[in-house]
Amino acid sequence: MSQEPNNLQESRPRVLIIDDSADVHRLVAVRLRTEGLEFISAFNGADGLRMATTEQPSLVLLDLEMPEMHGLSVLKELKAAAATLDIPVIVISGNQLAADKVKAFDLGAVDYVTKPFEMTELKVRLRQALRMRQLIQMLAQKAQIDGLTGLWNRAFFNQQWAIEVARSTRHGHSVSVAMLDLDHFKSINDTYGHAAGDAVLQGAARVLQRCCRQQDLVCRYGGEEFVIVMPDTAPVDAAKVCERIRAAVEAENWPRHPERRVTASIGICGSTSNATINHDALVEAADANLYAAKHGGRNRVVWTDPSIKPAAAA
Amino acid sequence: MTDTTKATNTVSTGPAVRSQFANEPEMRELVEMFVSELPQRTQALLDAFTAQQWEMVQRVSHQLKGASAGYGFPTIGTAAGRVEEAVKAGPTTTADAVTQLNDSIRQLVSLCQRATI
Repeated sequence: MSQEPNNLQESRPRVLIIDDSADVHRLVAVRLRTEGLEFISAFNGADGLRMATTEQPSLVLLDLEMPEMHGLSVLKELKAAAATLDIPVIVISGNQLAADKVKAFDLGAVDYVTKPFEMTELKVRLRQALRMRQLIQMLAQKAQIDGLTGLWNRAFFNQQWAIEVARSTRHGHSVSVAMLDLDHFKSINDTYGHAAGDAVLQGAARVLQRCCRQQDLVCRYGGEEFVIVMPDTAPVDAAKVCERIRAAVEAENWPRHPERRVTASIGICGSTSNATINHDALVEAADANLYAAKHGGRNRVVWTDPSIKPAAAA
Repeated sequence: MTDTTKATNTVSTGPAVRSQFANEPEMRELVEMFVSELPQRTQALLDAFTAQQWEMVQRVSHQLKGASAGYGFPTIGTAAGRVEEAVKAGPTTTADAVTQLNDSIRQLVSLCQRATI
């Protein structure tokens, strides 16, 4: 099973409390016990920043008046680092100063609660902030999902592929990309109608997800074309996975047109060395191999590995 | 100054200050811990005042202000808030200011000494 878009409902959201007063940690933990949250504690700004980065909490409760590092400086750093930028921060402060509130919101806090606070008030504000975060994540993910098939979309592929190639290059791992196109798809649409065509796209998406491995990313590239990112996989091994996919697509039964098989052509390229590789060039090469598979008679897999030099093989 | 600080050291009498959460089982242990730690806090406050460590006075009173209501002692929180305000206002500028700070600390300590679950 490949990495499907996440289920965003977190079972037990983790809340990081950054406050120099032990009282706040104790009180919040007891009073919000029934909220189903996990609390982690930092007693100064530096520890708080470190924990926000490593623990990736769903929310931060941040005190302002702390010795050494002021809460507003902590907030500024949280919002400046990519790893912590999206974590919502609720400021809890002993002062009511409008200037501090404005500053906190300007720096990116989602809420501001003054101490001493009503625990019930904090509770609902916390719920609200977590709910908002969930909705934002849902929207962000929605923008990366293909509506028809539920697979990742092309925008997500573009983003992840660049990241994956950079990561592989850095660690000297292999990485492959497979382009898959359904054969004669237009004639399915023309013969059986667009609803049948959509059903084939959805069915093919299911087959792809079933045949891929946990670490693979299956995306719809557009039309009847799909693309699979295969981390830690040399082209020769990617070809084995893709052969499985090809056979599974061919074997699939289609309730709307049992008499008509659907087949797929697949082109693969990738890298097994840590030489700097251009991610766009790999996709182009995979596309060229797909073209070769089509020309070779369709319903087949064609792969190349640019790191295998013909001269070395001889 | 010596006279006034002495005054704050006397054990105060008056009605007990009870936590609003005395009857909440989940809070009992926490409130007990808070009450048991109060003497240390008031001592730290008095020591800081005597030594004229205003930052420390502010820090202790600030924390008491923020926490007390959470343990069911809003009056202690309010009194601590007054200490914080007084020390922020600059306790050494005038005799009045010193007296005011001393008074507010005395009230706070008195409440703390009478706190019980």
